[in-house]
Amino acid sequence: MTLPGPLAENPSLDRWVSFPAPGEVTICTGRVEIGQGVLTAMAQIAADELDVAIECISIRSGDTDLTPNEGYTAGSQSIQFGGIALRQVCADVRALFLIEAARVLGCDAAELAVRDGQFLRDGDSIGQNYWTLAGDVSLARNATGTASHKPVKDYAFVGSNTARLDLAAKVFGAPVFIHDMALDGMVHARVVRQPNRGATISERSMRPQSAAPRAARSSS
Amino acid sequence: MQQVNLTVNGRAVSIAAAHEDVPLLNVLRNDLGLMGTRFGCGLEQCGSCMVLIDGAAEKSCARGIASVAGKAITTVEGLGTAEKPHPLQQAFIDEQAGQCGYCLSGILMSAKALLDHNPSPSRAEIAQALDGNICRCGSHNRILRAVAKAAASLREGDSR
Repeated sequence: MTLPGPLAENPSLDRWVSFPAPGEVTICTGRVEIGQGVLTAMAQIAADELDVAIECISIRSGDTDLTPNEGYTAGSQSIQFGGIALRQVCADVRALFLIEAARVLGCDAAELAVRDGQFLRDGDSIGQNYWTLAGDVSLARNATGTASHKPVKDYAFVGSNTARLDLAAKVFGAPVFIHDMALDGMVHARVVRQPNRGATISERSMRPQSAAPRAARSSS
Repeated sequence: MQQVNLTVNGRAVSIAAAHEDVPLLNVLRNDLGLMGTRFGCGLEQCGSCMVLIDGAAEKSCARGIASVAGKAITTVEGLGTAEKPHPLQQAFIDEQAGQCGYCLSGILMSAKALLDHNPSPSRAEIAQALDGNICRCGSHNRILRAVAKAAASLREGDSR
């Protein structure tokens, strides 16, 4: 079974998915939000393939210490390659948990289903879910790519409207853009060009562009 | 050195600016840490730096700090918070009015200025009020709907 590119390069399942606390799923992606809504799309894919409520999912993105290294987020390839990798990861994870649930119950995994993270048999809860079984299912193993994906007709989130995970912070003016990052000692530089041919740059254009930060003072 | 006193989001602020032409936007972002107002073009062309100056929507990226001495500035941070959103912010979330969201701070401030003096704007009036704000993603129709929705919400008494 050939794994999708990003998954072949980052095959360990625990690099992508974890169940940190009851009712919580952490999804890791090497792709980053650059206004295209990709993290919301990843949450939709994971929620569908794991059969969990999308509210359960928190996304960790673009931290090479913690997430799969998927290289650049560019070229409209995040869903095509990163999304299919995540879908396969979630299908594999779901299958592993179903096998464990079946072992606990002494039945065949094919008899079980998942809804909102709960495992069902004949439509009834078996009293197990991802979080009760998380301690017994190690995800420190490589994806096999053998689990089949959910049929498209069964998608609950992909193909339907889901609120953007990143929009509210932007509406409240949170410092979420790369321009807003301020590292210790960081200074900005910019090229000052003359506005038209033949013009010269005056000293006026070269003056500092901020108040002296340490001289700023406020009182209420 | 230019000492400038002004009010930002209801708070009295005293700025020691290097010179009188330091842009208001730079003071807001770099000196006061209010990052919600965005730097787009720096040439008063795109509207992402829009703030309210004494209630009027104005671009801040080339606005010399000395020219706003004594004035009251409102930025998107002064509009509302996640805990207590302004009806405009709530409407933008409800309508999912944004793609990358970089233009939204400026658009919200232009819309605030509009609704403050015209509580029942037509679609054409909303579009006119936002003419100085560029969104290059393509959320324009959602944005127009969100402003109309906020206006309706404010008319129904959800005034902030």
